[in-house]
Amino acid sequence: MELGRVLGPAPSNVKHPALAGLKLVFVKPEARGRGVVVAWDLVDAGRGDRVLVMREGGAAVRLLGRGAAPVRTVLVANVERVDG
Amino acid sequence: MKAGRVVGSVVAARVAEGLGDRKFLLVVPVDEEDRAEGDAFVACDVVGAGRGSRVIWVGGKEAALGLGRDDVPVDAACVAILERHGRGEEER
Repeated sequence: MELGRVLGPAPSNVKHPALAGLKLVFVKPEARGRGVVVAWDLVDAGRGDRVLVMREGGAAVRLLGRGAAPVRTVLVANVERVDG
Repeated sequence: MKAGRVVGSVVAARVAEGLGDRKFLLVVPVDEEDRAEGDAFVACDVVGAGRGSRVIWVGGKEAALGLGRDDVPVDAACVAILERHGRGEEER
C-alpha cells in the first residue's frame, strides 16, 4: 500500500454498472513522481485525509463482489499517524 | 518476493472490513547490499517484524495469500524476517 492524501470526490454520472454507488475519490500519493489516482473509498475519507491506497485489482474485484468489475485502486485505511 | 527494511509503522484510525487489526509497516525496498532501492511503501505484517527488521516482502495478489485469504484488500505483506543480509555468504 502507499500513503496519500485525499484531494476530493471524483463524481461521475455515466459509469460502468459495476461502479454504481461506489464512492470514488482523487488521491495524491506522497511518494514523489507518483501521479494522482482515483480510488474506491472504503473508509469514508474526507478531503485532506491521509490514507493508505491499495493497488491490487484482484483483491478489489473480489471485495466488491460484483463479478468482473473494472476496479483496481482502493482506499483501505485512514491513517492516524506514522511512527519512525 | 523482495528484500526490504522496516523504517516505521503506520497507525490507522479506520480500516476497511477484512483488514481487522493488522499491523502496517513502512518498508523501504533494498538491494542485495541493503541499499535503499525505491520509495517507501506500506505493507501488512504477518511475522512480527518491527522497526529495524530486514524482511522479505511480497507484492501483488500473493500478499493477501500471506494473510491466509485471497480477499483481503492488501497489495504488500512482510512474510519473513531476514536473519542475515547479503549474498555470497556461506551457510554455517
